[in-house]
Amino acid sequence: MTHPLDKLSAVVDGQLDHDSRDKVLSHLVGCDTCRAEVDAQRRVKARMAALESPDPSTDLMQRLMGVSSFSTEPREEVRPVITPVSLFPQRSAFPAGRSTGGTRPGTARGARSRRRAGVLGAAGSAAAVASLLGTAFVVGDPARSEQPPTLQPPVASFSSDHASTSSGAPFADPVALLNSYNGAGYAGLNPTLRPVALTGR
Amino acid sequence: MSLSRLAVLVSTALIGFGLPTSAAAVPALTKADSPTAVSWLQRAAAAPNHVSYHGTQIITSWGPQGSSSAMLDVVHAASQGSEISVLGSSAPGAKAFVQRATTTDAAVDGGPLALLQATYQLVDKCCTDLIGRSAVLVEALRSDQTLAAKFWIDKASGLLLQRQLFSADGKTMVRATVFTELEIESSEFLGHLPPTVPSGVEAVGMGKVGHLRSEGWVCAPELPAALKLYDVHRDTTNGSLQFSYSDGLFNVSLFEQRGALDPAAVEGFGATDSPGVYVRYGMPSYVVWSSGGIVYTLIGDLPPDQLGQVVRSFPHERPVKVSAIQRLGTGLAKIATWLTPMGALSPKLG
Repeated sequence: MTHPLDKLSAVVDGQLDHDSRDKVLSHLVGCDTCRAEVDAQRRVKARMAALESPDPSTDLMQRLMGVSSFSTEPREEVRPVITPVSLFPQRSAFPAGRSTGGTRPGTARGARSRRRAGVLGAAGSAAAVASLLGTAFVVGDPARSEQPPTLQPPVASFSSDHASTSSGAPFADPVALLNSYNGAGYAGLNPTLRPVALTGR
Repeated sequence: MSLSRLAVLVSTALIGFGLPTSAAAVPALTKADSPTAVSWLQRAAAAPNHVSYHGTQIITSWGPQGSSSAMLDVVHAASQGSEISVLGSSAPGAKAFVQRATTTDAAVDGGPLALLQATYQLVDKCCTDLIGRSAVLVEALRSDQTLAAKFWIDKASGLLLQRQLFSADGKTMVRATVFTELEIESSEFLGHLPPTVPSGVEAVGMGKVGHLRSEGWVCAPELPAALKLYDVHRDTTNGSLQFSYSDGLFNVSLFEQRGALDPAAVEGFGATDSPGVYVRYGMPSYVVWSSGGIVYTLIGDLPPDQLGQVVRSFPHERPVKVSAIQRLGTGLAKIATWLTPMGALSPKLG
């Protein structure tokens, strides 16, 4: 007999598709070893889920503030920052250094250079603003932080739980119980019905 | 502690500890049950615990999409539970096994019988015959004296032979369960049953309902259609909570999970008048929606009208639609907090 050991934790986590889950469950029906393993994993998972997450200590943030990366003081490392504005003096200085003819700085070439630099600066500023607004638009998406993750309710599992509960009720109809392992169809008549043992309470 | 919070806690404690007592006390104050009717129903509730049988049962349900029926072969062993097969279906051999409730759970599951007494007036209509067996007919009446249900109980074994449920007008049948054949058997065990699969479901108990509310879960003690909360379970495998409601006739389970409903999950469901609420009628019916960070899955055998009332009684917040300008403003404000060292840490500092 081949034991589907690699799928046991997946069946505990409910991560198998319908067919794989059926195969593993069918195996569990006849294999005491795997059933015990699944039972043990479920207990561990339940115990882990019941544990409360520890609260951070009260002085954690104070100690974090003491870490250099959180400090408001400037860092030791120097990162080169290149912006259109910072390029401006380099470009303007270069032609000025080449002009050896004793011309005054207010020549036509100098004016053109300043205009060019001005256009570059404006374009840079516009790009920076556009980038900021773009980032703000993305960051401001309400679905980004406040919305919880989407999920698909495990209707088949819920049907089983509902049937297990209502089976204890005095006059529950057995059709609800049949639907317990067939969340996909009406009235327990779906042709995909398969013999699977259920747990009751 | 505020007065309102104290009131919630006190009422929760009363619900948690006093439900069976109050449920039993209500009939004596408001309506006169027939003592023999009550004792017949108590006998019917207890009969499957000590009577084994083999029978054929037909279930029919009437809804907005017409009727649906199923014919079942039921083999019940008093000490184990029921093995149920669908007869005449396209899946021969399809079976389900439902384990008998343990004695501890039977006390909890006694809730619905107490709720039946609390909600309806029970009348003994005396003697009749059904499938060749001598039976007693018991009727359940609403407070306006309309007929809610009829029970035919086997005099010899105490087993429920037939049950009919009626809509609010007292005339339209919405659900019927009837044995067409029944043989009482002596064996207490089914020899060929497979072992049961471990389950991650654990009882939470009514005493923790107040705590669950403080955590943000929605669990009203009562719902429309006279449904009352009588039990709570938690499934550790998917983190969901199950709230069980009943009026003694109809059973509804409300499952809640943290999250938002994935649109792909409603495949096969139909849209309803309420946007974002999806329904699939059947035996039982399913309704799913999400609101306020909780995904609700409601499973129950209520008639469609009452099902709609129950669903409408829950919160239905739709996701807020934000204009581009609002979205930019929110984003800029968020970026501004990043640029401030303390602002960046403020979420962590609370």
